[in-house]
Amino acid sequence: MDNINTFLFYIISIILLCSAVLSIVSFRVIYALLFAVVAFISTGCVYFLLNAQFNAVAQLIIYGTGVAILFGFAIMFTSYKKEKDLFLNIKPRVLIALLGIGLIITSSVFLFTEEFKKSPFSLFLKHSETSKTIHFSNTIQMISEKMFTDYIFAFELLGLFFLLAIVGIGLICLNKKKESTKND
Amino acid sequence: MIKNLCDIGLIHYLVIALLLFVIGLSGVVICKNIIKIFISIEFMLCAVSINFIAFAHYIDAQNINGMVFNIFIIAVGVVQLAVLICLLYSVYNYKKSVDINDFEENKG
Repeated sequence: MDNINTFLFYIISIILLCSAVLSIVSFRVIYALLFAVVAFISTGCVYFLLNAQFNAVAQLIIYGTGVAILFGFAIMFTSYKKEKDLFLNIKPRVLIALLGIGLIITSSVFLFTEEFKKSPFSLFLKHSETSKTIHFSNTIQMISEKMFTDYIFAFELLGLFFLLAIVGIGLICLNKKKESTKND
Repeated sequence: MIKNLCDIGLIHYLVIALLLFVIGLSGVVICKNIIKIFISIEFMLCAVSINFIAFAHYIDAQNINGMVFNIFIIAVGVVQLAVLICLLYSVYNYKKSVDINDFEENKG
């Protein structure tokens, strides 16, 4: 079982990272969106590996379909005439990207060294080894109980945030409509 | 070394999340197309979510606070994206461009 999990972890991780990179370096935006959807679905699969089934399904439904459709409409409403000019034509940006990649490699290598095991951060890892065997029986029930007891205030605030976002979007669209009628 | 690689633990998920976050950050810095910048921001949010769930699974297994936070992150991320795309569309009507450098005069 562990071997299957290890194999799945590496396969999903490779797909996730490759599709994320391809999404950024692809010339056409629609290809970037397609690779991004693959990356979002792979993220959902990572949640499945971590026994977070509810989060994985939410990720697949919201990011895998909803966000993809939203981006699809955004691409449809905008022009793609100058797409090839919109990528990597300023040297400092490449330099900053290379610095970022160097940061990734050094941090990743540091996490596997002996120095890291001696550092205070490794306490998390020791703790994680002890609590690794705890079995998740019903995460969905636990999440819903948490959400409606401990996090009820945050949940209500989230509803208010949704309402504000809807009102904001409506105001932007209404202003635009008024201006377009004035121009006519 | 091989044993470390085969025995999947918290650190592996942290490394994946770190890589995804830096890919997203690089995308924000490199890309000039504003839709690609939005996609990169979503990658960064996904990386943060992976971190939350990995910590909830390996450290906070009794309370799973990280999984609840992940739901909030998904909800706030999608609303933020909807507002950003609405703003993009309204700005695009004036500028007729998705190049981030064309928005320079909106510095405030």
